[in-house]
Amino acid sequence: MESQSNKNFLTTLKKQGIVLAMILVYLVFFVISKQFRTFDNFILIFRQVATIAVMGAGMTYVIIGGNFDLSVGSLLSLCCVICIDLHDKIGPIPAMIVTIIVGMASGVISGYLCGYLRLNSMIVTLGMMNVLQAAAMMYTNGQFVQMADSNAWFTKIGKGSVGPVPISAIIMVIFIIIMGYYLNRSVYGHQVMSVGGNDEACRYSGINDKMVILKTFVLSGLSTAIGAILLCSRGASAQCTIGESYEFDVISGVILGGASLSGGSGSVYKTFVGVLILGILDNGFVIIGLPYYLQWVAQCIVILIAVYIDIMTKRKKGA
Amino acid sequence: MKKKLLAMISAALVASMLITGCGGGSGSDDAAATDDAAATEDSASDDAAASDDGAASGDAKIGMVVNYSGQDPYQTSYYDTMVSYAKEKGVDLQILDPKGDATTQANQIQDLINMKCDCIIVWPVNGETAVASVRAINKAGIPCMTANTNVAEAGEEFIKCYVGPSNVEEGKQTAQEMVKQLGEDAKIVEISGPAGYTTSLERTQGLKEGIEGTNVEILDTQTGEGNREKAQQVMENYLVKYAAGEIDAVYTFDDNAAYGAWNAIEAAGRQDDVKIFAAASGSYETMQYVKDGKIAATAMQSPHFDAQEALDMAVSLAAGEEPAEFYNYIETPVATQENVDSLGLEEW
Amino acid sequence: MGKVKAFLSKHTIIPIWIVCFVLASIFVNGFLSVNNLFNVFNQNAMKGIMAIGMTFVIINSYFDMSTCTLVALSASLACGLEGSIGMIPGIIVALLVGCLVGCINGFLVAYAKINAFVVTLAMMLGCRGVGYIYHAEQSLIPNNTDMGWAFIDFGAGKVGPLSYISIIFIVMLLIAHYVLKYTTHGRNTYAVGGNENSAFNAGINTKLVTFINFVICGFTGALGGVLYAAFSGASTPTLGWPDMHMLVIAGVVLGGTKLTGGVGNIWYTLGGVMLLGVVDNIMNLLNVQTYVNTMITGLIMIGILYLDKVMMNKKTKKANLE
Repeated sequence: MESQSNKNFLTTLKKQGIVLAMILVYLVFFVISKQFRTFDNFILIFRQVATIAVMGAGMTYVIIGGNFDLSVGSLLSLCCVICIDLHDKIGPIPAMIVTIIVGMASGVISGYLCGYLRLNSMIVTLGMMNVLQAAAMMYTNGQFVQMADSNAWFTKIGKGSVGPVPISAIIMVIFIIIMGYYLNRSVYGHQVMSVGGNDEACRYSGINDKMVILKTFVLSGLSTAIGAILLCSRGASAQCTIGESYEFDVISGVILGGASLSGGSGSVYKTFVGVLILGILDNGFVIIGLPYYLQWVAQCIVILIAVYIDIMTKRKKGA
Repeated sequence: MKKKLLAMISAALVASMLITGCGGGSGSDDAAATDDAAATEDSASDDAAASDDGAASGDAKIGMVVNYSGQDPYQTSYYDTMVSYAKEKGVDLQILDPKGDATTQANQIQDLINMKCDCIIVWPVNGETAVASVRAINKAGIPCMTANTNVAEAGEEFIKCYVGPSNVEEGKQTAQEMVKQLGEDAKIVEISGPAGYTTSLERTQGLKEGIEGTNVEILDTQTGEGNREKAQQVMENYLVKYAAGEIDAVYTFDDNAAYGAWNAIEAAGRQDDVKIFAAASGSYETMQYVKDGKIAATAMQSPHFDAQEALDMAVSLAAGEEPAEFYNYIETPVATQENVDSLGLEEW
Repeated sequence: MGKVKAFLSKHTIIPIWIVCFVLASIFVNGFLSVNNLFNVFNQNAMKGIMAIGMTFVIINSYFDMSTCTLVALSASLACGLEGSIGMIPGIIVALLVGCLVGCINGFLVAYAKINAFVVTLAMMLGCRGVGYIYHAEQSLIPNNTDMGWAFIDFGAGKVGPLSYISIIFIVMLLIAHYVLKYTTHGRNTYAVGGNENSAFNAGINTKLVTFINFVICGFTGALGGVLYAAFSGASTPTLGWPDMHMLVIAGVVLGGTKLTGGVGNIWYTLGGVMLLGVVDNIMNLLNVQTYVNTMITGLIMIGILYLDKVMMNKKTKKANLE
């Protein structure tokens, strides 16, 4: 029994090419830079990736279900401005609840359009991206929203820490574990996998595939709302374009984590690893002082190498 | 029969989309903004009818392309002022927004030329790409001016004048104030604006001019992408990289990036160690930051003056007058904790 | 009559176009004029050229995100090299670089079997970085030489109401139509996009087909970039960023070409790209506030997709009945 589980553990490790890639990336920076090695910086990376990692967990469901959600960036902006604005008006807890409701409602709309009406998710969410961005702009009329007291307890969610560990990182880890567990162990998780893998077949097997797709978008909206809370509580302020181009970071993280774009496979934990790789790159390049345009070239190369390592380990396993 | 039904449904659908789209605005909190939108819409349709008869009527028709209103408070206030000031003056203003995209802007300028405006104001998304557009306006025989950001030198022969701030001058003034406060051996880091954006490059140039001849050293430059959250992230990384005492100040592209930098500095508890200098600021809240000493110095640039002076100039150009000066810079005083109350910035 | 009906419900982009066109003509002042309509066509010709290459890749069941920054890279090469090696060689180099990027994309997707999304996303970052390095963050303009102005004049020049760029677009459309419909490569593209395994079993060199399609997309992306440079008389490092590729893909897909591959043609793409162009134009003519404009554009995108679906459903229902 003991050796059995050991063996399982080894085969799992072999499958995790992307983890290997992440460790390599981390080690490279670790060797190069003195400042990168500090414990403070290690903690900082987690604080900085928290929002994208949380959003990535929801996006993983959408992508496994065979869809895209390009609207998360704009939704992040909308949720941030709503949360900050309502904080002073109706109090922190109700503000967070409203934020989460807005996030999930947006998910219901995208989910209905993609799941029930079977519209192409890429274009639908591109349209939703415009709509939500406009909504955020209308809500703020283009101005900043700012909390009166920038040290209220609400801001501790983003800024505070328990001992050395940031609260946002704790929330992130708990959320990812829940989402990961739900995907791997629940009936719904299996349904998402099978809907993404083969839509037609599972309709005949009696799964309500429309509902399954709709739920993936709701989960994505939910995680975006939680990501928004983590993000806006950090600065105690928000701007209506705060989430611009976040969708690419999130989707890149998910795909780097190995979720198949045609649907059917993926893992929330691996997404987290993918997001971490991007976060380490972002942080490390600034620390070693690389000009930003060289950062993009370097990111391009590292992403391709990381994916290649992942593929090679999978192939070896196959052979 | 079925097809007829389908056609009707689809027609109703598209029509309802147009209506709900506009109606969505009136449902929003900000009634003022919608009024403006509705007003401009009305005037647009009135005007389209009028212009068919010929542009001989007394009212000037002025076209403008802005950069990206809604992206930050400065541009939004500028846009709103432009619309309300035009209404106040009875000017028929056709204002288009390319959302920060240079090619869209070129297309919109084409649209404005086709609408036969009497004068076109261009706020270039990018100084160089605007050259071809201002040349086209010039060829069409319409007087053209640039506002807020100037067109590149090659295009200056095609415009009548420029009204707006001098971005280089702003950066320089702030940098000089920084040298005054920190001494000539300061070590600083920079958070620049959106990559490749003309204003951002000019303010960086201003920084370099301002510290010329001193030993001030720029240790690092990264882009904050015009986003407060990104600026905060960059600053956090700087603070890890440079321990206490290794940097004296951060020079930011604008007040927005300065807020982000402040968040990071405050969280690290290094307020006394690292000072913030913002090249230029355009929102009223920044005054409070300056008063509290959170921002050590910044050049104040009023979106209202900027917009009003641009429109005044455009009206006189549309009437066929020639401008007295080519460069019409608006005033951008440097605010510090000491002088902020005495600058008389209340009406901003 | 029945034939017409069947035709329309198969090519849904046509009735959608008619609905939009009629509504815009009635409700939007200044829309229905020859001048304005040619204006829309001219404005969107460059995006259309890029969409042609994208159509090949999408019919092949992939998509290419690197177009977004390849535009800026090729535009800057065309402008920047004018000083050192002359305008025409500069343009040729720019186009070759586009093909090279296409080759890299194609090789990694077809032969190394890496996910197309990741590959082209990485290339998008790579092109962006190289473009900025080349630009040194500044914008580039062709020198004030005769050739430089000739280049800009070409970008602004017109034959009657059609710009030179539009004429290139029309020629490219015809070539693309020929390639897709009458050549082996075109037929193979449909086969590979429809079902790669059965195409492989039928003896098609599927890898080569995919490779070539990415090269085509790289080429048209670079050509679009060069023409953008001519049109605006300069190149900036920010050209195309951040969502040019999305608009191009949206144009192709709205036209009716399916992202799953195997279905579509070049005229769909023409319809889709121009439809987005018309929506933009209407918004400009209505002079609505930015926020409203953004929102309506989004709603219309979803609306068009819905119309397409409704008509498609009708067609499939009918097919089932028969």
